[in-house]
Amino acid sequence: MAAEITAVLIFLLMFGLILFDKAEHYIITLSCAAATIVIVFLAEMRSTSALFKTLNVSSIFTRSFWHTSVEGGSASVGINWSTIIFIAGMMVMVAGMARVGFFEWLCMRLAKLVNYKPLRIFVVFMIMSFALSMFIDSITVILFLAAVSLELSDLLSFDPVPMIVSEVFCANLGGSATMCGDPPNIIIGTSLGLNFFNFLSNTGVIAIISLPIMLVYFYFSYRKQLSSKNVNIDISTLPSPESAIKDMRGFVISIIIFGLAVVLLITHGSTGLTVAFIGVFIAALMLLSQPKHIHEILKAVDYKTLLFFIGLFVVVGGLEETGVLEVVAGFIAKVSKGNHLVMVAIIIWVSGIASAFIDNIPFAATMIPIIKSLAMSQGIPVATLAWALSIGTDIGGSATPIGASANVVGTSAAARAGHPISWATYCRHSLGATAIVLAFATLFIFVRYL
Amino acid sequence: MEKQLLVTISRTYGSGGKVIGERLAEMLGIGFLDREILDHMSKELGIDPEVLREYDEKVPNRFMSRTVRTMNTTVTNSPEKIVAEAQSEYIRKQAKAGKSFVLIGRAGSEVLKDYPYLVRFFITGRIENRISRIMEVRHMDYDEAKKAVRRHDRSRRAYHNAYGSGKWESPDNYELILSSSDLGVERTARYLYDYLKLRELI
Repeated sequence: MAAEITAVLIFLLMFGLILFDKAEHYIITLSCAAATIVIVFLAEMRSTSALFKTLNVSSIFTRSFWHTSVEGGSASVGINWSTIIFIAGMMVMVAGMARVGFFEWLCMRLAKLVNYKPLRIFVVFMIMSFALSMFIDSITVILFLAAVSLELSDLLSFDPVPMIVSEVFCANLGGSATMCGDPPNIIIGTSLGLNFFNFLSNTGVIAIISLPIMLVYFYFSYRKQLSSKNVNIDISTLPSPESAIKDMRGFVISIIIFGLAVVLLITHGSTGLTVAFIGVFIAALMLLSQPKHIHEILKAVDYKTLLFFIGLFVVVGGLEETGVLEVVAGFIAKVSKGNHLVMVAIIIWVSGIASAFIDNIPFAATMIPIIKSLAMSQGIPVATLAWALSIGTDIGGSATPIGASANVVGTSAAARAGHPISWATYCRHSLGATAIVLAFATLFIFVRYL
Repeated sequence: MEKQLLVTISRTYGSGGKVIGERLAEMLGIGFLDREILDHMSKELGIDPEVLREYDEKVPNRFMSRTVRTMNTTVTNSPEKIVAEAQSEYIRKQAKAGKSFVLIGRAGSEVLKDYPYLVRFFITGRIENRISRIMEVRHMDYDEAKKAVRRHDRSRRAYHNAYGSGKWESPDNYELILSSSDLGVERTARYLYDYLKLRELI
């Protein structure tokens, strides 16, 4: 019992410290991980096997870690190295693409394509935000998209706030569509043996149907605010998209590598290549293609985020090994009285509401063992609960400025450019949009799977 | 003035720190930085200064903002923190450009602590005097003024302590801590002027 209580206390302490920003987040998770190892595993459980199971290092040296038809469900225990290696690989790819000016070029190209008309840019950027976030971390997408939106709003005299709020929503929506779009999905996918195509044909369908609804919703919500004050702008004076390209050779190679990453991810269910393999392979290609810039690209890899994940997985591993999460799963089963509809609704809406206020990554990591346990005890397919968890965490995060990382990056960029976005401004339309998509997803899952 | 001189004045609410600083800057013939910083910033950004004023000298609300890491940097979406950082940047830029000025609040003693020619003052006063001053200047009754003094002192302390290692009320952070209750605005300003003269900074 002592081990269970300690594991819960450490977990709550970690969440509290992250919430209050008491230190850098990776220091918090690593310190709590160290406490879990020393107090829970070694002092209280006296179990080195639980410790090694949680550290999970041996999994990296198995063949199935790199090549298998599915991702291997055993990875759900302890540190999810597939997630960490894949994210590191994608960081290298994105750093390589950012170095050559890919994102600025793409944004400017599309703005030019629609003749720099604010309302058209608004719609096109939402679609681009959705599409890019299916394959690239939504934080990175918003980092570049918000910067270009702010620049264009300055040049074309329109209010950038509606554009940024809508782009953030679409980035989170796009991220929910695939396995690699949002960190919770990568963790869910690698932990439960789901592949890219599984996500695309389930959460992807929900997201793709929701996109046009959201385009219309945000269009009518922000139409008046987006009318340009100054229509007499000489567009020939605007910077050309090509001026964003810093290295033409590197630019072409980056696009090819990105395209290859997309193909490998879409087909990895049938090729058997795991996301860890794809991450390493794409990172190696990007580094080898730009040998002069290896140092610069590697410097952009955010090792603190990777350390944050390692610490987080150990702390959640502590909850898992002590059986605390099974108790939570039992509680959900009891509340829902074994009704699968109620269970799915609880997963979607609790995840959605929680993710609107707290970091959805630790939340998803904690929920995975819970839905696994629920699936086993209640006879509901784990994949159905996985889609509910994925949509709940990814979309729920869109409701408030602090819900998902992309929201923080977008609202931060706006505030730095002199357009602070209050909670009221942010939530006015995003809250409704979140509720619409979550309600639609709930109905969709009910009809399709239950 | 030939040599650069940077004066920071931290102050309790109702102590007259701002007007004392304004008078001192006038006597020294150097710049005066207070809320004007936001005017300059908003002019550069092409926005309404009132948008930024809402977040002036305020600490981030921990429940309403978050920090995330991306591309090896930590990003916050707290408007209070972003405005504070932008103000600090503006202040440092002015100091780096060799300008002399008197700066009111804004954790100035922390923001500029690595610069030479820096003199840090703390102006306070007896609580009853401060309440009386606020009643007079802000046209408040006693209770309202008392509450305002408490509230502003609390937020100034929180702001200062959030953006630096030194504590707002710690004597270690200042060359001179002075009560304006007995001397009043004009004579306190003159006292500070004389002090700078004695220090051979002017």
